[in-house]
Amino acid sequence: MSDYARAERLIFHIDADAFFAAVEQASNPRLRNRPVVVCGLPLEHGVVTAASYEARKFGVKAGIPFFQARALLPHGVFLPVNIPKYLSYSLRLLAIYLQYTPLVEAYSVDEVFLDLTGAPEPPEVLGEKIRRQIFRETGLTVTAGAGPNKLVAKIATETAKPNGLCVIRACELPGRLAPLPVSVCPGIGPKTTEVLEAAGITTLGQLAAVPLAKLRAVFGLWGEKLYHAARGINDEPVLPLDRRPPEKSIGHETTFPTPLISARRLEGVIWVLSSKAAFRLREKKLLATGVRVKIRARVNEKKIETRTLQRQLPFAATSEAQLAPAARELFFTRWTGLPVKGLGVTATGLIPEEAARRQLSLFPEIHPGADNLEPVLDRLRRKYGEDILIRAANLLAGE
Amino acid sequence: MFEEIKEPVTVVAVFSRSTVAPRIFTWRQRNYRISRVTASWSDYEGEARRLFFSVVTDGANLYELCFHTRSLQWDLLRIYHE
Repeated sequence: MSDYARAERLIFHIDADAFFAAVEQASNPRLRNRPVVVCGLPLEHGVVTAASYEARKFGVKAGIPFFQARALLPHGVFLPVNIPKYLSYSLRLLAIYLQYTPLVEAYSVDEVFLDLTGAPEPPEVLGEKIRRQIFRETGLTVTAGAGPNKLVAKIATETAKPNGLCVIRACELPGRLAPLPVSVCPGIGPKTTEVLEAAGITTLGQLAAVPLAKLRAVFGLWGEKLYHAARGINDEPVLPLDRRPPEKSIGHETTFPTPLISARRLEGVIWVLSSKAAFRLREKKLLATGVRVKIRARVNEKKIETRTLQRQLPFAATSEAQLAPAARELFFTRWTGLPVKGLGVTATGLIPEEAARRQLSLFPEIHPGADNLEPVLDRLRRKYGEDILIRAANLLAGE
Repeated sequence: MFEEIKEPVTVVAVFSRSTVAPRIFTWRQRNYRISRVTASWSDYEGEARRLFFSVVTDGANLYELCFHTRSLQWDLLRIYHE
């Protein structure tokens, strides 16, 4: 057993580099070392989903419209997004990780946490071994970070990208974290970074020097998390699939290459997103007791404003006929007419259908407004695919 | 660059236990000998499983084939040109 293993937890965070674009390069040898850009369909009206590191050098990044990426990179290779292919590679990576430990938490399609506490080899050796095996078996490169907890492991990965390995031991924590920018810390996004920078705090070391009371006063409960994050303190366990807590929400989001201002089209998009969320609710035998709408509106050429609106439902919903009107009402009572760059609809406050049926007094009407057609539509969707039938209202989205 | 094709093709393939290995495909009356399968993956269209293969031939192009396990039909989906 290594000194590291005897002394503390050993958590790895592993992130596949430019995953979607890298899968395209791995599955087509002629694309290796070339600037590859993966876009949503239809390509001409799509948004960049991923860009290889070769493409990023030209300023192409996820979220920009196809036409803008094309202008930045006229000689780039533009490919349509292929989710089944990426999921298949993701499962291959998962199979490799499971050879090292059963404690694998799939954090996203291209990121995992591994609990390798007690491993016989030093983390540097182990990390390189995993990285080499992945490259040999899949052709993909990954960046690995190791630390005494999930937070430090993820920060370590951020500092080693791309195709690198970084190990931060507990005894090195204050010194290794102090010079890093606050933005490397998970959860510290552009808004928090802006607030911290305005107060003259740009590094984790400076953040660690701020008293807890002051952080609480400015950020509330989040201030406490920041206080601990700056010190690399985190005790979250690595949660393998069979130990994950039940889902709290199910939602869908979309980004428009050209911001939308047509109320009819936006209403259509709300129906499409609600319909997708409702189908997943029914597949998982869950009911929603709330709905959330996320609006990303373009204020001007440089500024995108994100607003999240939420409301409780007076019943437990499982149908788009219930979710969409609630989402529509939320959207149209607060939308100021600004061009909409992105829209999301999420079913929140999920409860298992079985539990809701046991508490009929709390939810007297489980499916008000749900039509009898839905079970039939669901059967067709299961048999022939999700897009086999759509409601006429959904057609508004594509006008 | 790639070109969407979506045309049925005839494929000679080896089915062995749970694996499928395409060897030759015929498209627009021309035979293409597959020198390597560079990637394979699958998805479901409803209940029907579809198998996808990225293959290279002796030429410079890469082809994407799809095998529909319900209808036992093969399609050439795309060609990736140099």
